[in-house]
Amino acid sequence: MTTTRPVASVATGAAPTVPAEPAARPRPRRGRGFSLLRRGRGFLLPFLILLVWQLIQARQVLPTNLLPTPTEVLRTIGTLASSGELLEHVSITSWRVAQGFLLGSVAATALGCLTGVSRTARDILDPLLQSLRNIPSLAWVPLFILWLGIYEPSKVALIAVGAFFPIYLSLSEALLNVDRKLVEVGRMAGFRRPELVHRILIPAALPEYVTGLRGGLGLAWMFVVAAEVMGASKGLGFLLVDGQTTGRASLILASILLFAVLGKLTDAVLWLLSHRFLQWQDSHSLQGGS
Amino acid sequence: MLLLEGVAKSFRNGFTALKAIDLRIDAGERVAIVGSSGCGKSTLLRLVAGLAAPSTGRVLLNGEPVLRPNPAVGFIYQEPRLMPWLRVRDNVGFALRGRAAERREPVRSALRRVGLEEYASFYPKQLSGGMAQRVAIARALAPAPKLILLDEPFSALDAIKRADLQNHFLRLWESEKLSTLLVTHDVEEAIVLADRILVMHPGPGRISAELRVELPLEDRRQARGFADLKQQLLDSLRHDEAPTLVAHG
Ligand SMILES: Nc1ncnc2c1ncn2[C@@H]1O[C@H](COP(=O)(O)OP(=O)(O)OP(=O)(O)O)[C@@H](O)[C@H]1O
Ligand SMILES: [Mg+2]
Repeated sequence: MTTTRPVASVATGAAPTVPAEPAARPRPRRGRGFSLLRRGRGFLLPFLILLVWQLIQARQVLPTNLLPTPTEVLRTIGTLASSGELLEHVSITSWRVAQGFLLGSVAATALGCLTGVSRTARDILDPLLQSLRNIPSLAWVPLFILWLGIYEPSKVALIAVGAFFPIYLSLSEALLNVDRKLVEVGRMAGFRRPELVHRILIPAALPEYVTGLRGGLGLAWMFVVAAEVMGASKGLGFLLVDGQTTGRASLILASILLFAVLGKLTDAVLWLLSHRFLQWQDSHSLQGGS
Repeated sequence: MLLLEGVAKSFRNGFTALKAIDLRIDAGERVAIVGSSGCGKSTLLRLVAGLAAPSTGRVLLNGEPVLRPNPAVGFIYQEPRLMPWLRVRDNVGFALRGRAAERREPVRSALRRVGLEEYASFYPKQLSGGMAQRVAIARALAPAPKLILLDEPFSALDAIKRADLQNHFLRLWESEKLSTLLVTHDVEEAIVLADRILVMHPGPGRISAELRVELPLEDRRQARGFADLKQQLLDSLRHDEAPTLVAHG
């Protein structure tokens, strides 16, 4: 029956496969200006909050020594910057995060690959790692200090532990859950295990791995605060403590603001680095996927 | 070309999916197996493909036992199963060995044969279901296989697309003279695409009838005899399946 109906009436129906195929070409990209505007939307809300805050606190509705105005916070940052202190604090904290994140993510990647790909490795390693995960990470602090001293190594170790688990978990699970059907295509092509891993498992697991990396990076920034609050003479976490002991709320807020900016910035870098490998993803149109 | 002798398959949980299957496919022959859902069709194809081993019996390809997947065998699945991270051309070249330059020509020719040359640089997410399945066909053709296995290859498509692709596949088969083994629960598809149809019944899966299709290759659906053949197939499918429920009249 269907074959005798005019095609046009079919094409207006809901069947997704019916429209003439050449129409499936991708739409041309929209201009750069448009996308800049869209990116910019994210700044709108923070800006409004700052504005309202500024307007309220300019009238000293709340005691300004407890809640300084945004301009006051910016002035604090400015002072720190001009004395060169800011660069020192920011770079030492970033360096700790970088080392810890690198260490944690390398270990997590190696172990996640192992347990995601090999049944034996999973049986042996995963129960242990899963139970370690349930230890509140801050409980490691005394042990790390005992073993590694109060200086850099114990801080880096703590950050590495923080970054490790989200990365390990996401990679291991993603590898384990790769569609069996895709793996079968590889087996039909005559691939042996190493080739299956690198041509199918790894690319298929990549999106979740990147999500894990971003989560791990976020935790690295959290743990650097913990590490620095507990004992440091430099770093943004130290500024927090310093602000508290000297009663300078603006210093605390300045440090918090810097953490926010740095965290967002490093996350954006990670996203940019991974983005071009993940363009194939078929994200749903509600998020404006191309 | 392909020979199955007394093949049975039981799974580790003790379930017997196939029992005493004998089957022979000669070079260039097109065979279809029709059977209801769950009767073991996919299991049979996996044995032929070397993705699983029979519990008893032998699977021989050109006289050699099949122990693992063989490059001379192509597989077209129910779903396209394209790698979403690869462009169309890399999906088509997925099973090809050798350097990139050596892969280019077979990929191009396979894409040409399914009429999708222009889409070489597309990602799977940019294709319609029918196009994706054609890419999957191109991927199976690219390594120049001698035997193609098809597991309900067009069942996810609407009726028009399905007929289109079936015709397309027929033309391909005519030019390549591939041996094909198709499994399907669509009796029309079996008649359109095969010269010989085997009827399979479950519990455990076995082949219980065989029919020859003696219709012209072109437009079989319109051919005289099509309806009879279809009815015959449906009857033999039905009868063994639930003998107590069938009213004979
Ligand atoms: N790995 C397995 N372990 C146990 N039983 C299995 C396994 N794979 C398949 N089976 C069983 O074997 C039987 C045949 O399965 P198979 O997939 O071959 O059926 P099919 O004929 O292809 O069905 P369909 O038309 O729905 O695809 C089913 O009853 C299924 O439950
Ligand atoms: Mg099946």
